[in-house]
Amino acid sequence: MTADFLGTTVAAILTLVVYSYLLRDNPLYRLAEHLLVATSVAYTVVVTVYLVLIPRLVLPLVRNPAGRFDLLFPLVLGLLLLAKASPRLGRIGNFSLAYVLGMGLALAAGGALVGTLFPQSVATMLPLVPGAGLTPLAALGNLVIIIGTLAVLYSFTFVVARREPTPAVVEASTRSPAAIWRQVGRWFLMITFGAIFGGTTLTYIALLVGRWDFLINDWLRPLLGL
Amino acid sequence: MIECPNCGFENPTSRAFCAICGERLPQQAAPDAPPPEPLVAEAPEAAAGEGDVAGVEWLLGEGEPPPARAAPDLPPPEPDAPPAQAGNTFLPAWLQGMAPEPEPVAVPPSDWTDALDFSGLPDWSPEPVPAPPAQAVERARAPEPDRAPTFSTEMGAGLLAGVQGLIPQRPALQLRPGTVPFPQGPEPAPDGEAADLFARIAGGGVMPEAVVLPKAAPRGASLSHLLLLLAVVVPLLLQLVPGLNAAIFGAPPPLRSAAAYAATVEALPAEATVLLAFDYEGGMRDEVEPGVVATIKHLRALGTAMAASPRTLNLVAVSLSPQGTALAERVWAESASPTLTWTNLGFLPGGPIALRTLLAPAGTSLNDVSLLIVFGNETADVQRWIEQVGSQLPGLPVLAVAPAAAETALMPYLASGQLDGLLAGVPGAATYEVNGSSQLGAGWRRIHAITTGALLVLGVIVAANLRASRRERAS
Repeated sequence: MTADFLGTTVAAILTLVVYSYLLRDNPLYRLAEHLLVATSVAYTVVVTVYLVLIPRLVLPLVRNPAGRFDLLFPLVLGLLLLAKASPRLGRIGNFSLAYVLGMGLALAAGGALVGTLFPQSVATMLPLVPGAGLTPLAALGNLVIIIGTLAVLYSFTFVVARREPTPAVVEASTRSPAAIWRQVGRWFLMITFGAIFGGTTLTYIALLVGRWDFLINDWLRPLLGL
Repeated sequence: MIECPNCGFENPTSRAFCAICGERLPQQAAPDAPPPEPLVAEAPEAAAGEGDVAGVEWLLGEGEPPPARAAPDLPPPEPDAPPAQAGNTFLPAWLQGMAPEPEPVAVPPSDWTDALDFSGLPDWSPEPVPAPPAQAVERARAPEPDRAPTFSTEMGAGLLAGVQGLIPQRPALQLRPGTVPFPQGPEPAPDGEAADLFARIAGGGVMPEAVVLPKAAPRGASLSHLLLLLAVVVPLLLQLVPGLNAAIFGAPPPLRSAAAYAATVEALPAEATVLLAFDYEGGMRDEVEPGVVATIKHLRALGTAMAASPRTLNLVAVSLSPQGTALAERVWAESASPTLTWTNLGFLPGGPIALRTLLAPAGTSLNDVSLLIVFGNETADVQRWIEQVGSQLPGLPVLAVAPAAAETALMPYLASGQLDGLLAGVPGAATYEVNGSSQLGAGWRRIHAITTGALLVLGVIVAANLRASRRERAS
């Protein structure tokens, strides 16, 4: 038995142990669960130390301390972050957190504006008249996109309802163009949520089939010599 | 003598409260009446014959003479007077076992309770307050033999008669009426023993037996369960028989997003650097990795001399996820080729900040990169690259491999041109293998099992909804 196949066997047994939870909670499942958490944390620590801290911070500072003054800044911020472990000195670590969160949020917000909001808004400005390379079917698709975008946006407008609306007001409000428009927006939302749900279901079925494939083709067949 | 308005007991005139029930007695004495004479025990034997007095004696200590008090003449016992209590039955239950056995003596007169007064109490003791009604006293006087011991909060009789209020009473345990006390409860079941015990202590009494409703087996539920079982078993069977998938289902239909993906890879220049972002994690491996492996195999095929126009490709791997580094090495180990060069930059912490360092002049320049392929765990992983890198380098083609769950959210980027191709889950990978890279792999091996499972789950959803709507109509 090679080392690779030994690892495959361990993985297969752990997979079956995790599936034993389908019968009921049991110590073996708990063992596998704790093993997963422990190895994940340990692996992350090792990766961070050996791929981030040592090559990108420690070694440059040791080899060329005078030329890498810029690395002192993340070093100090990192050390301040350790103060979060102390209830008394925890406030000192807020400086590091504020810097990291501020930078991250600023970049994320800027990227969302430039990379999603503006381009996606522009992408909804579509031609509707067929011709000049636009087929009638594509024009219809563009129309659906525009109607869906506007209807969904309008469905998120909220107004204050009258305290005691009369039946006539209720009927008028449900049959008004605004209400119908809002209802169309809700239908677009429901269709989108349904598509997301379908994709999620497909993903989890794929994960299940992937495990079957692993157990049968990667483990059982070599184990039984088939 | 003063008759108690509550229980009718004849109390001496010196008493302010009834000796039996503790009720406040009507004041009949004249304002100028002399104070009551102090009691003096007539004889130690006579005092010892009374339960209360005996209790006082043994509590005070044997041999210690009682305080000298003048005793009034005791009237003869009345026929309807309460009988003298032998022993210490007037004592609280927790003191009865400690008291000595009294000697049988003659029945004292009915106003034997005059032997008790409160002159011996300290000055700081508060004024006694009336006790509860006489029913409680009767209950304490003659407890039922078959009744479980309960805690009485009254002190209208016995040693502490009339001194209620000296110690504030708080019920330590209060049972609901009709509940069965702890000693008479049934043995608790092995499961939930602590819960039953708590219920009894807390006053809940014996928990009623759980009502087991007859299990109805509606047709819809059985069908749902059957379909759900099939959704698990059928994919397993399809995996057991290789080649069955293709025989039954044939090739998957082409997808436009996968075709665009393959076309973008094919369009690489003769010498190109491809940046591969391994941002998926081990838990999503079965869903994402078929597309990843198919992509690497396609790139490897482009570098061979058998390709129509052989390319020199440099693959650069980077990961914003700690696990991505190991997964990249694993994929490369399975798909390594001498026609490709491989560089793994490793893990870049910081998310969007790390991506900006890739764009910075001092960092690794992305200007030489001809193609960016993101292997993401979820929508946000791909979005991050599009927003931070794709928006800054508009000419850089961006491809993505993501789970099927992310497809709906990523399609707008594909439609807007920010994504040039997308492989969504195993279906996308299978389509790419068949129609794009022309190398069959895990995607092709699994696609039909997934399709079958998805159809069966769809059947479960339909059956469950039909059942729910039928039940709603019936109700």
